[in-house]
Amino acid sequence: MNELPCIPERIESDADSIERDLFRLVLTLVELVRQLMERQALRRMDALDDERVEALGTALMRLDDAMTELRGRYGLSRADLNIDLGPLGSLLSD
Amino acid sequence: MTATYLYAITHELTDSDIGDLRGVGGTAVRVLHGDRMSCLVSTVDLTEFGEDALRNNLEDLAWLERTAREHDDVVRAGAALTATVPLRLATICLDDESARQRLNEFGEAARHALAKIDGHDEWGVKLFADRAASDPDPAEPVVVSGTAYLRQRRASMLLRERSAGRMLRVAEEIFECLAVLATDARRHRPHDRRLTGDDRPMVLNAAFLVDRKRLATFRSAVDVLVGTDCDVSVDVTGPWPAYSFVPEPALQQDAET
Amino acid sequence: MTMVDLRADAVETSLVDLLDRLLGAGVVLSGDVTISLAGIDLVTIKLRALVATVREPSA
Repeated sequence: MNELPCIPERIESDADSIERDLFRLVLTLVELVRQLMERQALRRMDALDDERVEALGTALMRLDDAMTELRGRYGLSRADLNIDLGPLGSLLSD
Repeated sequence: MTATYLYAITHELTDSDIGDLRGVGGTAVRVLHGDRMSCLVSTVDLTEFGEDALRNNLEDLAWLERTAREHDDVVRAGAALTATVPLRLATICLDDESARQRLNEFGEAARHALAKIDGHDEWGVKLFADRAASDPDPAEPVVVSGTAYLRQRRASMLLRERSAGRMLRVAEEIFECLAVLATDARRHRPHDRRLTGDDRPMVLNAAFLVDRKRLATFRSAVDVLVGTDCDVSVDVTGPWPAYSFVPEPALQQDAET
Repeated sequence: MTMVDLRADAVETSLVDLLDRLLGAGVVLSGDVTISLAGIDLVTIKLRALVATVREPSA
């Protein structure tokens, strides 16, 4: 069985909370991809020229800012998105 | 249609030893007799414990919890009386006769396990990395360039990885030290934080088979080892019946029905 | 010979700790998500496909 991060198996919603729950789910997925992309970038950055590094870094920084703003809309903290990339995932992610 | 549900293998017992013990689904627990050992069993309904029914029921958390605790109650009752080798949840045979056959097949493996477990209890030791060690620096300066952003993230990541590496080494050392004081030791998968509801990462989930006469030493060692590292905290559970020390695969086969 | 009291009412066991010991693989949460609204399943998201598209860099 694969152990994959962060998503509860079932999200029980009533009409009121479904919007927030769906939003949190979508944000969690986006945050997961953002973290994976960022980790890849960090691993590759030494092999890239300065221009590429700057472009990559700016894009990721903007993505991080956008996520912060989106989370703010529903009052979700980083912890609420509950990313856990494996047993020590929380020590390796933000 | 019924089947025979097996809870545990024990040193010889009689029905009067276990009295009015109840097991899964409230069924009565009986003793099956084997060669120099006994087996605690119940008669269960296939509508609840047949292969298909089980597949569904195991997904039902309420059923799973209730059944797991009922199973555990029986195993603990056995362990309170004599050396007990617990069997996994839903170890089921066609009937008493095939259960006895299974028991005899276990034979030496079971008797060996009983001898090893006798006089011991299982103790669980879970280690957690305290968040303080891995929290991002709250005073991180605001960055203005993409390059600075990446550099900062990398420094932060390296710090966390080093911390994670250290945590793993600490957990490993503590495990090795405690294993020396136990008759046997094994690791379980660390718990997903969604399950524990605990913010702290679990860096070790271990079980130790500890001789009752050495328990005080073992407990002191846990306190000392954890006390020497301020970034780690511990949760000790027990005594458990020796669930984690049942030899595989001979005694851990799944339902025959 | 002293008998240790292992009866469940003498100790409080967490369900996860119990399942670690009673089930073969312990408790593993899979990555498939179903969102249900009042018991009616709405969406099933397969995360494996998503994560598989993000590949690790080759060494």
